[in-house]
Amino acid sequence: MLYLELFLQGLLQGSIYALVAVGLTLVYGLLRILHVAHAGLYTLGGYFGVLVFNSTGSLMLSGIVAMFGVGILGVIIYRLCYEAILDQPPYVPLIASIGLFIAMEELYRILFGSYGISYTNPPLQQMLPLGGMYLREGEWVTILVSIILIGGLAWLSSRTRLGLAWRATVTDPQMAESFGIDPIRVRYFNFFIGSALAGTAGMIVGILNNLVEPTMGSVPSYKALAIIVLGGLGSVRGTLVAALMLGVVESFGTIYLGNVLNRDAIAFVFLILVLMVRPQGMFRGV
Amino acid sequence: MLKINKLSCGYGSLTVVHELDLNVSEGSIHALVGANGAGKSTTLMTIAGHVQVKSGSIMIGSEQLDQVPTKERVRRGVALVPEGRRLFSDLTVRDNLEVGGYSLPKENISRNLERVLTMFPRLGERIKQESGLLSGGEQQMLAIGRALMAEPKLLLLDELSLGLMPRMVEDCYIALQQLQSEGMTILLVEQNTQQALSAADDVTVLESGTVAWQGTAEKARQDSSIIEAYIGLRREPKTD
Repeated sequence: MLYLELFLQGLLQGSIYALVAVGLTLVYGLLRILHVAHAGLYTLGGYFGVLVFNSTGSLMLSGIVAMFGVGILGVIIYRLCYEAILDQPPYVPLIASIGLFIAMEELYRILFGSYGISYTNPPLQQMLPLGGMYLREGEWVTILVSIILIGGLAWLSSRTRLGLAWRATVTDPQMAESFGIDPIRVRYFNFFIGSALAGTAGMIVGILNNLVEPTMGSVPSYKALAIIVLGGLGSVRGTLVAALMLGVVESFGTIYLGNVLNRDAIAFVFLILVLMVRPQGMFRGV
Repeated sequence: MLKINKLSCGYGSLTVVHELDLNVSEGSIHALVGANGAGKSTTLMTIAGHVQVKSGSIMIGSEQLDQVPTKERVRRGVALVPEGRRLFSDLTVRDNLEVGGYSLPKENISRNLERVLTMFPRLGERIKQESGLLSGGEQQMLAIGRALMAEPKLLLLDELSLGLMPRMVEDCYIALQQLQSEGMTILLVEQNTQQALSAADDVTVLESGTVAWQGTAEKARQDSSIIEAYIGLRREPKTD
């Protein structure tokens, strides 16, 4: 039972990584931009969640605002920050993205203070037994939301016209445009979906930790970058597998190696070991 | 059908094609031939909207095409089969064909899919396969099929025979003739001049981005010196 609970905890952590990293890999797959500022949007999701919940008491409303608000802001960031520099060498948007991330963190510090904000009446904190395993409501909800969102993304990508346009544009934007697909619309869609996932993840982590702070995006940002490399740059499937694996390895590692290495160190030792064997990542392509 | 008037086009500050005049009449196959770097593919890519027009005009019917955004040109009846096929290699055969019909209503897509699969039954056998795993000939069929899904009035074909086995080339040209018999207008770029001349009604020879010779394919076939002069093509001596 211990192993099963550790495995479930790992999947829980992995599903949060997946929500953040899938958005990042969507952007990389389409535009070949390492969108570091994605982690700033994750933090913003946390702030939207806590601020809306503390003022309205509605978890549903705070979820909607975190998801859609961050999604829309992601599109605005693309429009104002990246669109004009898409034809520049890759390091130009990368530097812009790093600068944007730093600016976002500082902005959160100015607007919301350095010490973070907590939920005044933290939601989803009760322990809930299910199948003999005890997790907090928030943790069960995290697993459920991740399954719904990632499943929804898979459905959108494989079963809809928009998904077809997106997949074609990722493979060859010029040819996709030849057949009437609007690449700008696809890019907006891509940024919206990726950012909305990050915003949702930020809100979930804010609830689970009962704390939202300006720097909460830092660790997820470099872990997500490592995950998308591990999964194979641009591969959504690879990113999902890598994120879940990393979560499980962290979960078991903190029990068996916790006296030697902390959680983040375990994650990065694992990433380095895998990349030594498969430097190209586990998967490649869409 | 297609009327190009004094077209100059190229990449950045480089002009590849200079003041090209070209008329392609409705329902004909017009071959654009020439040596490497003559500007054949650049002309096709310019018509499709991927290369910058520097001066001149491209008319399709009575509409000026060079003012139309790339993504809208397929709706004006222009479809491209590019050099190297450029299929969406991670997508299945069906998905590639559906992308071809992206600009059309759903009911047209189903009808066109059926038509393409009738024309190229091998694609039907591989409908769920990733297109990157098809053979070269099948990929070329798929590239043509993808373009046909868009119900084009003008089909732009770039290097149809490149890298294909002779049998496959023959099959592709048979398909072209079938399309022509259905009234489609085809602008064909080919390195394989013999093959192009055998299928085309009219020929334009390009040399360093300018028109070196224009006329009927019949005349070019009869007078081998024309093609030899511009491309250096040697024909096999005739045997009785």
